[in-house]
This record gives sequence, C-alpha cells and structure tokens, in this order.
Amino acid sequence: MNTRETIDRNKDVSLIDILDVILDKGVAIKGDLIISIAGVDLVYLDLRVLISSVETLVQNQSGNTRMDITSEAFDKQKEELEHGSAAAEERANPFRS
Amino acid sequence: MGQKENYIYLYGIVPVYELDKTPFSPFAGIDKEHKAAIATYGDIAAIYTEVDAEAYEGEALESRMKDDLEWLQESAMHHHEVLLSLQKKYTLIPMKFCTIYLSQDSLEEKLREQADTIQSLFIRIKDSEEWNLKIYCDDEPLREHVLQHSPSIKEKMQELESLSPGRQFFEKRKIDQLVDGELEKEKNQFCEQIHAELTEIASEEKVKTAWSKDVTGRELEMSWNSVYLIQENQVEAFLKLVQQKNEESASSGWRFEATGPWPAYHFVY
Repeated sequence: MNTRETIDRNKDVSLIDILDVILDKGVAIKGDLIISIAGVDLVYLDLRVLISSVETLVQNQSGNTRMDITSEAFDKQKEELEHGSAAAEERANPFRS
Repeated sequence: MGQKENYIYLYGIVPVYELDKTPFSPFAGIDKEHKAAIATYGDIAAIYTEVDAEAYEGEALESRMKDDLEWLQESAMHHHEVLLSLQKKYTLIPMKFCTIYLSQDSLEEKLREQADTIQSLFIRIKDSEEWNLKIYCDDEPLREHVLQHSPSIKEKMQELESLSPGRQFFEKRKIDQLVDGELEKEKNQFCEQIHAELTEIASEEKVKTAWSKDVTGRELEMSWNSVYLIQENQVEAFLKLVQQKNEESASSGWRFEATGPWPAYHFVY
C-alpha cells in the first residue's frame, strides 16, 4: 500500500477545518465582509455573523459527535479564525520574525 | 414579471479544454432545487448553480446563517464536497463559500476582466494538489529533554541548591520561564526544519496560524499548521517524508497529521 492510502485523507476533517479554508482568505474582518476572487467584489456577508452562528451550532449540536468541541473552545477557535483572516494579508508568521 | 432573476452561486472555475476530456456531469446545487451547470467564456468555464435571489441576497443570507444553523453546516459541507469532487476531475480554481454573482452577465464580466489572472492560476495549480500539515507536540518529553540538555539551565539548577528556601522559590520560577522559552525555541526550530524539508518537495507553501489547544480540543498542543501546493508526482514523496518524520520523532512526543488533497484554496487568491 502506498503512503497516500495510509494517511487519513480528509477522513477526520471537521467542519472547522472546512470553514477555516473556505472562509480563511480574501475576507475583511472589520466591517462587512467582501468575498472576493482576485479582488473582485461580490455579494457581501459578515464573517462574524457566520462564525458566531457556527458557535451556536456547536452548542446546539453538542450531542453530535462529529464535532466534539466545547463552546468555550469555539470562542477561541473563533478568535483564531478572525485572527487568521485579519492577518491573512501580511501572512504573519510568528516563527519567522 | 416583477420577479427578481436568480443569482449565480459560483463553485469554481476550470479550463474549457478539460471538459472535452472529462465531460461535466450535473449535480444538485446548494439549494437542492437547481442543478449545477457550466457556462463557458472563451477558455474559461464556470461551474455554478442558480439560487433564488431573495433567499441568497446579503441580508437574507445573513439572517439565515444566524437562524438556520443546520443549513449553514449542511451548506458548508456541500460546498466543500462539491469542490473536492470537481478537483478530482479538473484543474479547479475553487471559490470561497457563498461566492455569489448577481447575474450571468456580471459573472461573465468579472471572468473576462480576470481572464489573464485566471489563466496564470490554471498554470500555477495544474497537476498539483494542496495538502495541509499540522504538527502536534506533547510538551513533557521535550521539557525533560531541555532540562537535561540545556547547559545554562543545568547551571542555574545547580546554583539553586546553595540558595535560601525563599530565594529558591523565586529562582525556580525564573528557571521555569527559561525552560518554557527554550522549549518554544526548540519546538519552533524543529517545525521550521521539517517545513524547510517539505518545502523543497512542494512547489509552494504557506504557514498558517497554529490553533490553540482549546480550539482543537486535543491533549496535544498544535505547534505548526501549514499548507503546500505539490505536484502530483511529488505527493508520494511528500507524504513519505511526513510519515518518516512522524516515525522518527514520535518517541520525543511529536505527531504529524497530513490531510488532503484539498482544493487549492490557499494558492489561488
């Protein structure tokens, strides 16, 4: 068996992994979010709204084992996401400064 | 008519010529009512689905995300799964969740405007896969290692014995902080080194923010989070190296997790 098959390809990928990538970049955190491809402005959303709904989602679905993340953890996760997005432009790498 | 025209929910963009080789097979769109379809503009093909303008306009979408959380989860998953399957067949420029155009015309206008950028993105991501690497670490074995092997800390520990109990207490705290600092340094160096080796195999890389323990809900600390764009014929070598590093360093408390192939989200914006 090759290495590819032994690695858990997307098997354990959680909703937060997905949100992290499908929302991670091209978004502005302050004010209304403009979703964009290569600088093209589209219908806007507010990422904070989305993230806070996900938080509630997790609380509501705490019985669902797909995501065993506590709501407290999700607050942090939310911060991480917001931080990650806000820093997206500069791609701050704490290990490279 | 008075009724608004449907909006266009864009999943992604693929090169037209690849559709000759692998024809597009329609699937149920995000609203489950409309089927996904293809629109071609020159060499560029957009994979989209129509959505009801009233349901998918800014405010309606916002409140839906607040009030209909099952929809949110389901839709995010739908978006991701669609892109995963498209990516298996085509050179795909993936769109972010809820990338919506007001009309076919506005989509066409934007795509034509961005045609050059899009073409160069196709070249950049062709025959490549995005992989994510997260490195986790159990601090205890490493902390022990630092305590045993750092000369400056060893020295300080020895000095400690000659001090009064009160001073010992404060000096000990200082040493703890020193150990913490050393530990972080060791961890960063280790991850940086791995990252450098993997970067040689990959065509592009990006370092992301590592999530805190509270975020991951795991016992192990996430020390590293990065993504790589890798040529298909290099993926095996990349994963082998990850596995090898994992095996070599497992006893020192490290754990590597690679996931993929992801749509090339991090390399198209």
